[in-house]
Amino acid sequence: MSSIELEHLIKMLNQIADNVLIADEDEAQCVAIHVNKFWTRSMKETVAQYAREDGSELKPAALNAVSMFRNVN
Amino acid sequence: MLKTYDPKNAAGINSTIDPEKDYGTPAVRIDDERSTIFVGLTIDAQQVSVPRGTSIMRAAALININVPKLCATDSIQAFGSCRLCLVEIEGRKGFSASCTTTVEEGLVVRTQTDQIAVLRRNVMELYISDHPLDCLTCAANGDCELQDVAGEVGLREVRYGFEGENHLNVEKDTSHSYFTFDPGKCIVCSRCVRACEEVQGTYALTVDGRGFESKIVAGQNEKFMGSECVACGACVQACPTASLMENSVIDQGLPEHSVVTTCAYCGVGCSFKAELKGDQLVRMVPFKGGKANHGHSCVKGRFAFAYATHSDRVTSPMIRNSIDDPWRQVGWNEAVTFAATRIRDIQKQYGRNSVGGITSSRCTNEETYLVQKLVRAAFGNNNVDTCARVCHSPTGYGLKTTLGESAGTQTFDSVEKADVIMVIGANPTDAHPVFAAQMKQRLLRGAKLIVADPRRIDLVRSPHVESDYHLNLLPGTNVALLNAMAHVIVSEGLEDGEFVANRCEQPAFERWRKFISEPRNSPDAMAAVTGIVANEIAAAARLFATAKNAAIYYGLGVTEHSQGSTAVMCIANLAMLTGNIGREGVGVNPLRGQNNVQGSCDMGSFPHELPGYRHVSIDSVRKPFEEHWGVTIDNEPGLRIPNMFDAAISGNFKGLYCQGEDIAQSDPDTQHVEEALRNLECLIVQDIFFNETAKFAHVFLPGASFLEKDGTFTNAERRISRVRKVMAPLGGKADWEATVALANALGYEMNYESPSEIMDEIAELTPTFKGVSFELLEEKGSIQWPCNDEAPDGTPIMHVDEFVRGDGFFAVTEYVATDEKVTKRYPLLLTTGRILSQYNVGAQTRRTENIQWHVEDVLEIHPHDAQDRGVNDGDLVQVSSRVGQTALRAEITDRVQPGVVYTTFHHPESGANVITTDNSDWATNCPEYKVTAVQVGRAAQRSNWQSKRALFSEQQILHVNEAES
Ligand code: SF4
Ligand code: SF4
Ligand code: SF4
Ligand code: FES
Repeated sequence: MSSIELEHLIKMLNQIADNVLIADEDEAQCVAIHVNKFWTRSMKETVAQYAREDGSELKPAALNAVSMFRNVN
Repeated sequence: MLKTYDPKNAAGINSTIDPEKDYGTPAVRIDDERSTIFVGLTIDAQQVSVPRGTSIMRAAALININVPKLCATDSIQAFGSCRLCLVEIEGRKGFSASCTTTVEEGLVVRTQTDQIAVLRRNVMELYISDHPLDCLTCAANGDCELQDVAGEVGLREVRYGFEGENHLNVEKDTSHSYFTFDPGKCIVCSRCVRACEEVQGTYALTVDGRGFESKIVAGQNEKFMGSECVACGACVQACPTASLMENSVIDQGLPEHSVVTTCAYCGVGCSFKAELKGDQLVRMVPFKGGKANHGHSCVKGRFAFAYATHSDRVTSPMIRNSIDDPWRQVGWNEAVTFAATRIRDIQKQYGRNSVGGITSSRCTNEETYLVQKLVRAAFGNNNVDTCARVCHSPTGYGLKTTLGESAGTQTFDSVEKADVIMVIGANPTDAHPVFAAQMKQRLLRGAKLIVADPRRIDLVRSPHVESDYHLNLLPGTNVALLNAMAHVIVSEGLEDGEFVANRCEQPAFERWRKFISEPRNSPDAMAAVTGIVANEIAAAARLFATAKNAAIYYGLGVTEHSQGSTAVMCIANLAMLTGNIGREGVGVNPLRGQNNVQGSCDMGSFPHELPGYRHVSIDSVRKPFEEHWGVTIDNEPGLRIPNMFDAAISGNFKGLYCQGEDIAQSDPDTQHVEEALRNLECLIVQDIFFNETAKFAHVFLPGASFLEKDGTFTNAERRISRVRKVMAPLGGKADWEATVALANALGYEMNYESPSEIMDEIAELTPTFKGVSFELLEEKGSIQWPCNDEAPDGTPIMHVDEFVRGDGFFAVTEYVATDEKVTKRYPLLLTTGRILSQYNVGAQTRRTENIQWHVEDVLEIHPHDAQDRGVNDGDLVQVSSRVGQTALRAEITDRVQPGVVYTTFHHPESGANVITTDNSDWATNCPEYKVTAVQVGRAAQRSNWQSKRALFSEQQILHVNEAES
């Protein structure tokens, strides 16, 4: 996996965290709902792995969303 | 037959209008209150009932009494100059021109008497005495109203002789590549002048001089080519003689048959009669029965069709092992077998998800449907996307979230009832010209106009049209502006409280209201961000909110931003807040780019949705498809185009089937895209030309132009129209047939006899398309989806009594500035767009005479910025962003504001997308084409990328030529 791909995924996830608050729910949950709707399994897995190993570049809501990704161990 | 007043019967008259017939004067407009009041009269002893305001000529034509005429035609208002249409009205002295006299209750009209016959013959005699009698060799022979009328009135002799002063030898104007003006054949009926004003709204033509001296002139007495003329062709179509005539007819003679089909350029979806001799296309004439265009067109659809038979067409399948090898021409069988074997090998080695497909917005609904079916059923994954990713995917997301359906809410005709029109991030006169012409007519009749655009687009100031507000915001601040407008409306209590209370979800609204009322969303706070003074924002908001009917039209200047989806939701919020949804004259109107971008999205081209915008994770959505297709469908979304590129660079994505889409030119950050494409082990490109993407391909399948296949396109109004085959596919297969062959080679059986069978399958599996069939299209001409049991005739206006999602949803739309900010190093903002004569990546229009209007992409730069950099008009300048650089010629203009530069992307060598970055919309990954921080400076030569590209292209062309030898 290239660092470019991970870089993009981190940026996308943070962007979602900045923008996604459209309803009253918890912010991390909003992020997770959005990601589950639009991301592939492999994209979710890549970020989840990064979150486990490092995660420092993810905004708090983005980081907290990871545990709610669907179909990801 | 006696016709008495009966509104039902009268309405019947309206609905059976024959689009092939000229009724002499137009119908009373639907925004004219007279259109609903009927009056009865007697014409030649027949009774007829028509709307007040109708001309006697039209009333007569409706009961098939066709009064001779020359200066009247039903696309323009009557002028009453030729005096051929005289009729007698009982109780009135003398004769009246039936084209300019309107009906009145109880009138008794006679259209044919001995006296009238003499008068008409005399008029004709005068016309003919100044007209060359070379009918037999005239290009209009057989298609000339002057000839016809001479016959109708029984003209037998011309007493005046041709020796006197006349206009017979005036020089022709052949400056235009698509039509010729021969003043010698002009009868000065002024139909062309009125067509230019009333149909197109360009005001390029005038009648100069008086009496015998009067003549038609273009511009300030210029050649057509040098005037303001935008080559729409409305004047040519309106001209009753050979005075204005298509060059193709002059060259080839008159066509002998015609087929109604749909333009394959933009999302207006104009209906055309393709007029042919055998299978040779002579001319395209906009079809009056077309509900999107009502007989009008633009230069692309009417004239730019020569690309379809251009010698650059690749007509044989080709394969090669590596992109460094020459191509080998092969038969279809060998090509699809080669492709299928490679795809299966890749999947064996790298996994099921290592391949995918891209559907085309240029292709038909049926073809798009098949490609996504092939990906989901034969590839066995959801890695399918479409070029809408890079244009209107935020529309899909934003409108689905707020209103419940991923589509515009109106018809184009709805604009006729709009009182305030807001155009944001769209340039209709260039990108959606026929709709722009309709909008202009509405503006000429008094509607107000708000334009929000960083650039002074033509609508801001054009002949007789001027915007009431031009909010020239900084690129990337749409959300800030729209929020500020909503703030004004809420804080001044201008919202439609009743609509919001009855139609919208209350907790969401309350939450949004609290958010939008915060001072940080006020025009004062946003003035600095947007660059627009607070008063202007507030005044525009008031104008919008207080209109009886206000409509918003938007384009890629809204969607192609890091907050594209948010801006779409802002627009939906504004419309709901002011109750401007669910009837004519209002609504949220995305102006779609490509001809079938709406259709390709409807057909399940997105990796997370099956046809009809239903999510793949929902079991009940997948089930009918799984049963019908005989496969299991993955319940997780697939890769979007940018994700595919990233995965290709990581080595996890290796095979791509790309139909009718030039991603190497159209997608942002070209160098990144090229790297991804080079990493693929099997790239299958299906296109009519050897495009930029094909240079990286291993399999090339010849595509078919829209003239070579049957199917349907869906335009920006959700209108499904037929595309009809008028010639055999040059490459042997229509695009859907190629997909079928590839599927079968992959071992997934597809058997379709015709596109109509494919549409039947779509209708069976997609609730919003349930009622659609080729038979119904044949009957109705076109249908706007949803079309099902609840709406058997389709749905012109959506969300009438309730929103598709139930209650309208106000989404909180926080403004988040883009990362793409100006810096010391990159102090200017580049934004991109298109122009009228060229289409998208230009593959088609560059291969027609349209090229003369736009030989290269230029960089528009404000005089101040140019001066700071020592740049003169026409200089070659280097444009650099953080990802790449290219060189373009500079055009100095104050159309752009200081700090902003602008270019188009119609030519591959310009490399506009070498500079655009990988930034994208947060929700959909739609690229941020509209904002790139750049520096501009004088350049001595083309950029590195441009030189490298030139070399690579040359090599690839050699590889193609080797295949042919
Ligand atoms: S082609 Fe169109 S714009 Fe040009 S003169 Fe004719 S009507 Fe006007
Ligand atoms: S050019 Fe044609 S339409 Fe125009 S005034 Fe002459 S005859 Fe009429
Ligand atoms: S407006 Fe669009 S659809 Fe109509 S003719 Fe022009 S390009 Fe074709
Ligand atoms: S058609 Fe009525 S005056 Fe010419």
